Amino acid sequence: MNKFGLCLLVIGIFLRLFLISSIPPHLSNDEISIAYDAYSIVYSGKDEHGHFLPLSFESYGTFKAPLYAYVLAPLEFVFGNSELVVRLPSILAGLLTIAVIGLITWEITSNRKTAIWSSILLSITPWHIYASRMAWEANLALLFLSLGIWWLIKRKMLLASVFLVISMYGYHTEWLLVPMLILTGGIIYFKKKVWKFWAISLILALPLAIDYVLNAGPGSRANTEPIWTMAETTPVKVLMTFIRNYINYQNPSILFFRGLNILRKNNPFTPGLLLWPMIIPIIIGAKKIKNKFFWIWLFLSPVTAALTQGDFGLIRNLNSVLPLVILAAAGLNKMSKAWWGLTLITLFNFALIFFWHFPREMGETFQGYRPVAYYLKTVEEEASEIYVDYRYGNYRWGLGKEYSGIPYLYLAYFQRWDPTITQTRVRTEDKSYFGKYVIGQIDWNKDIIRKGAYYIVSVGNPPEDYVKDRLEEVATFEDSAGKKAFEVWKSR
Amino acid sequence: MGLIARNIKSPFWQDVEYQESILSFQKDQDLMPYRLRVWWWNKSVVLKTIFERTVDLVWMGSSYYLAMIYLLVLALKKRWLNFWLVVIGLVLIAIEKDPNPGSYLWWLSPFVISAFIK
Repeated sequence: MNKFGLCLLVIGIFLRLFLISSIPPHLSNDEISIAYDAYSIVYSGKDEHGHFLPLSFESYGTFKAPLYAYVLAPLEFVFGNSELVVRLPSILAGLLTIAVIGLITWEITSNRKTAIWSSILLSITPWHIYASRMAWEANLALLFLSLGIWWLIKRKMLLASVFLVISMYGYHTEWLLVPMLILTGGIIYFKKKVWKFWAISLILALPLAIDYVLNAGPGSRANTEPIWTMAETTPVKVLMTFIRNYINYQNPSILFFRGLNILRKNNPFTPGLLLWPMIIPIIIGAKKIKNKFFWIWLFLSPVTAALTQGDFGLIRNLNSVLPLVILAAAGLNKMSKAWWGLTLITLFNFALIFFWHFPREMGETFQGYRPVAYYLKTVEEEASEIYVDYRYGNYRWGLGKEYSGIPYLYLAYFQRWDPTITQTRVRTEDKSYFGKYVIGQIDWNKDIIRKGAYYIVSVGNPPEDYVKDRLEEVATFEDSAGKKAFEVWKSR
Repeated sequence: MGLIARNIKSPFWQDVEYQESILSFQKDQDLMPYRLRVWWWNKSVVLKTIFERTVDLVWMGSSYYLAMIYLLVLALKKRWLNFWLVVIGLVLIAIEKDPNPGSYLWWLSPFVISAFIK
């Protein structure tokens, strides 16, 4: 590796670690639910709903894959509860994937230089940087998938089976992708012994399949996300939707210019998933790679994502990043200094958008409940009840959107509640009760102002004037853009 | 292509919503001196948006992927002059704020047909 390559690798690793606890500014819905389930597993052996060591975490109705929570659980036991700890498995998975892509490329191309450059290119790819900075199940699954593919190409049957199937426990996209890779890759690499490979993989995946058959209700993701579960659909409509989605997942405009949706919708500054100068080496690289399995991997990667509803999902399609980067690395040796200059400019542009504009532009979309949780811990003793409105954003006067959050998970995680509190919560039609905490919509016309009660509302739902004389504002909290986000009111 | 060019009445960069999205993004977030900002952001982002809109015309299924079919046919037949003429036509269509590819894309068909006339 030359000095320039080493510099790029250092920059890529730096971009994954710099301000990791504060950008993205707070844990997202998905991150906090994984974080709390891991915490709940450590201290009670059950998830937030009281299910014993589940293989599918119901979470807040999103039914998460189990791998991330089980990897995170011991880390939370040792290091405690914080943003950094929650993101740690993803950060480490991202760094290890950088090494593994080099090993895969070496096996595919037998070219040491191309292998090293594939690692360097992945380290500076915005798509993978973004995925590695958040606690995405998909990013952890990607590491195991890549390890499985590496062993598969090396014809190590057991290791290939183990790692590929583990990735199925990591994220739902792998549920379909991995069986397809095991079917095709097995035929290519194990020939007559393919039945053994398939049988081992099937046995390892059996617990997941049994859990799905026994426990997946109508609300589980595997039963709500696929395109064939859409209302009033027909086989022809399903096929047409799949083709349209699949083509859309190859859209260069999304891949290179506007796919990384870290800014508001239609913001023209939205960066691409890959640095756009990489278009050229990808086209050149496509002519160089002859490995049959590589092409199957490339074309199968977006299939699962294309079979699900909704627009382009950059996390659902994360598996595509590896073959695309390998293609770029294969075509890299013909790139001039001007190309490298453009690549550095686009990398700088991405860093500027990500580290400066993203937390400011999207400040109000993040649930900044961590400081609120720490504050409430200090007043919990004296409070008779603590009401928390789950809506946030400056919505009442049309100054922003209304977002629906899950504050109880932030409170439970950062205040380190006893897990039995969430497992034994009481639900009524419009409120959930967690000990002293009451989560629901606060309607100042209806809710009785109780003596000694605290009310946590977003800036979009301040108290009406006629109740203000019975309340005093005791604290306010800002979002990552420096704008007021939450108000804490106490009844006199 | 002349017809398409003449019909560009309101390019997307004159769209109020587009301009506001640029301005509001910069208003309270900008790091850079004014001159650099104008060059870096305002100029480059319009070029970036032109490319995005053109690729979307080809890729997002407008008129049953007609533009994609045009380009594929011309590339496979290696008629590069016609290929680039169609690309220029697509850029002109994409510049329009509301491109309406359903009617405009057919106007590019002479460039495809002429590629096969010997």
